Amino acid sequence: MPAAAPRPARPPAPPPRRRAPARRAETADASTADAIQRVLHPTGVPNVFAIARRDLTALFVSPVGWVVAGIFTFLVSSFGFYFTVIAGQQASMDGVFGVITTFLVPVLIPLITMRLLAEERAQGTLELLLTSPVRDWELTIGKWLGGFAFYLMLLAVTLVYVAILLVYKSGLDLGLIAATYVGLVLVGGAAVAIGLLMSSLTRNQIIAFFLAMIVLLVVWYAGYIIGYFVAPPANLFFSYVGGFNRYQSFTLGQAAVRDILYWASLAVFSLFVTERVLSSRRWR
Amino acid sequence: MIEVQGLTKYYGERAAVQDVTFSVPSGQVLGFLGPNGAGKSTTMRILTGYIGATSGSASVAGFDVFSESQEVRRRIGYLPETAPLYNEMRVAGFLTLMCKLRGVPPSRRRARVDDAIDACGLGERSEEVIGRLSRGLRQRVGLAQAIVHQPEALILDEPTAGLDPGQTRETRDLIKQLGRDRTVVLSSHILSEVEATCERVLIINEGRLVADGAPGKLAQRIGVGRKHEVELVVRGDADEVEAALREVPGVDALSSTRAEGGIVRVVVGTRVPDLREALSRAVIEGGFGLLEVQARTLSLEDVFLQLTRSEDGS
Repeated sequence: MPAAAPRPARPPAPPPRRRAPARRAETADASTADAIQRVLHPTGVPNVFAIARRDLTALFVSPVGWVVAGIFTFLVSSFGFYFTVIAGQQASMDGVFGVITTFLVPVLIPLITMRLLAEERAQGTLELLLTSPVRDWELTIGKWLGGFAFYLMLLAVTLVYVAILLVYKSGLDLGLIAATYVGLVLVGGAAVAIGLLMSSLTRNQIIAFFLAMIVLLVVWYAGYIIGYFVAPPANLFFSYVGGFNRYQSFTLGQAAVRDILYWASLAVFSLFVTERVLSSRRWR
Repeated sequence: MIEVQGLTKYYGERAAVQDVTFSVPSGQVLGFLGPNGAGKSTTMRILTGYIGATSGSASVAGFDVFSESQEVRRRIGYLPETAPLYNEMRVAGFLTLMCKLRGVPPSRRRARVDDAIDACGLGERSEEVIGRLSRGLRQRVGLAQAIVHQPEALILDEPTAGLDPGQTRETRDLIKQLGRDRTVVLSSHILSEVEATCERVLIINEGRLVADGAPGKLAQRIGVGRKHEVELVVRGDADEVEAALREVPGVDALSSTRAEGGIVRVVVGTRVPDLREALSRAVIEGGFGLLEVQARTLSLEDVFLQLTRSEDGS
């Protein structure tokens, strides 16, 4: 009996996949996205943004982000704007800027940054990140960027007051205001970096908060205060390195290069030390 | 696939891992067994590049875990102890983030996430917030993140710790399935788990490797020259039964407990491999009623206890 021609074996049915049509649509423009990723991935930029994005989102999901945003808008609208502009009858941004430098930077920034690494350490998710192919500096910059972006958002909210002043007062010195904002961006960048460094040192968020606040207050005021009490010429040195004096130039409308460098180097130094702290676990 | 040579890790003065050497061929499912604090997690953390070792070397897929850490991390999936996850994220979002961080090309991310979700039975839960999931589901998300980038090797630290029996079984089946086409190293202090899932067991105690072999063989090999036990349930007067059994050659130790209705439960310790026949003959010849005879074989559990007990004789 002739053997029946073997029927071509039917390939096993592929397991049902969800969202199959979506995937097919995705592959259409896949080549460009993949090509971009191939170029960018070795630079670490996508990882930095992925980490920053997660942290920024986490701030909006957690109560801390909303509490910080709430307290800040309350203070800035009451003390910063109402008491100065409406009750005090001064058409200036000084009150708003005052709230930022006396409260947002030394108190609220530590609230934002305290969880950045301390929480990851406490929950063990740091282990998840650092056993993924993520370099320590990518994590450091990503974390910093997440916190800094939140700070920038809060800062952006205060632009509303600039707009209000513009409507009611002509001849507002916009150059001065712009210079001050440049200063505040730099101060915030450095403060977030310092907060991140403190957060990398402990797994306890409360400790990270107080460490950051103390260091920020010291950076801001210590040189200034010590400058008063130390005999010259040492007093010149202390008041020179104090953060307060290095911020003054911006409020006078001059973004001095040495002051930009001062804040930028403070940020870079803190980030560098943070990266070292993260990599110290691998030391032999 | 995984080579470990003379690995030692000190935390201050205390040695967590001491001179551990082993290798895992590609495709093997290896169980790391040891009491809590024996050095299992430390070894795994070194393998995954999370911490450094004090001395010794380790490599995964030919890449040194210290000098080529990034290459190693690209090739492994790791589930740390207690499955740490971002609680505020949704399952699919979290897995997508992990895909990104592990360099999966954008066009394949969706498929990889879907595959991992399917493999871990999370289909219904993909849009739920991780913080609201039960312990068992969290563990599955932990496994899903470990496999989402399709690594060559899986390192799972206590994958079933804290799960209820049903979940434990599901997780075990999942691990077995995952182990079909990749290398898996898992740690546990639960013996039945290792027996059920692993082809090979390493027993580690106080930072040192004390045994290495297939689960069944290990029990056999270590059982030689050690005590065996036979348990009998007999109807009769306890003292008379004891006296009769003591007469049997080879009986080293004997203990009995009285149960209701004149029934005695006797456990006989011996160095003779199987004394059941001689013992039952003695019972019957003595005119007692023999209800049960059972040889207690050395289980992996006994092996484990004997190996990990701190030198108090065996």
